[in-house]
Amino acid sequence: MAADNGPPSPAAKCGLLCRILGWSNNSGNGPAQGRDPIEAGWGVASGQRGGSVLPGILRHEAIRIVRGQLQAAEHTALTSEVDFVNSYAQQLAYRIPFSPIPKPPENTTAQKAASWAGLIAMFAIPEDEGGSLLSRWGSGTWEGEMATEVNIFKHWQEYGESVEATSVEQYLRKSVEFAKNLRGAKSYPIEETVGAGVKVYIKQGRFIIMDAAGRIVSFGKAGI
Amino acid sequence: MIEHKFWGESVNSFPYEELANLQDCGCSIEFLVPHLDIFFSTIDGYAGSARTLEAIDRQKLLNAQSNLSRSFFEMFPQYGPCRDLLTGADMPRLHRRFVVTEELRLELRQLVDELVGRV
Repeated sequence: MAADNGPPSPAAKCGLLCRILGWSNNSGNGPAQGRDPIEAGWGVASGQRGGSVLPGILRHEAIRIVRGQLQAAEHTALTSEVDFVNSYAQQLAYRIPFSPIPKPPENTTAQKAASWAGLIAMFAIPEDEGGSLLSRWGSGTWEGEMATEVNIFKHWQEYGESVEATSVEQYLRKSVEFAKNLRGAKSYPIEETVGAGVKVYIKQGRFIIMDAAGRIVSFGKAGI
Repeated sequence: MIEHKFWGESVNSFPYEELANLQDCGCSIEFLVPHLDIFFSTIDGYAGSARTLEAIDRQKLLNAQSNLSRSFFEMFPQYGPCRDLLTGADMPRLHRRFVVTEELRLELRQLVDELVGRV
């Protein structure tokens, strides 16, 4: 029987994006045989923990978008992996109805594209745990659906490197861990500036800002 | 347009390396980074979700009006001595952040003032 030389599978078309999401076609960690590769890939994206990575409708929507992108890729000249990732990241970001993430600069490198895809990586946390971690953060002055997630993402972009958090997930974990033990921290109430109850804490060269409800709104390196 | 301007800015990590220039300004800078973050991220949140501001309740609008009413050096006057050191030549990234954030703050303030007047 002749080999099937039909169009490549969606998973085979996905290069850099698959690596960002932790998919691999060769290592055995990739989408399981016999399952929708996109659906399965989202499970793999959370590393070895498995499980669902995107909460509810977001997960469903992300899968829909990836599927649409992959289908589109087979019918257009969309061959650049970077373009693919950027396009994908932007479309997923479009799920944030109030603030679509803009197109990255024209000279976007693969590394920058991966950073943009950090918004996706952010959800690479098992659903239950993600919920409990996310609940420790506040939305700051962000408004709308997913305001807290965007607040975390923007702070990760700005301070993630300073606290050696290479992913949003790491940043989230480190901030929550830091907030657990603020004994001995220097504090600085700033109610006269941005509202009652907001406090800055500094300890061991790192700062954390908590809102009036005790939720984290920022975390980073304090020193120069 | 406010959102477009905000999201159109390139995203970079915080320019810690530039802050060394401020060590000689004579004021305590121990809390400077979080204070800068409070100012920048307050404006960021409003700017990034500007399109939804007209839908928020009056109390939130009044809070926004208050938060947008002052520049960084009005909000944290203890850093006044550092102001002259904050030049585009010596601290290009932080200077750019200040310029853009201040433009956004003024545009947002006008928008929020109009919205408060309506409700």
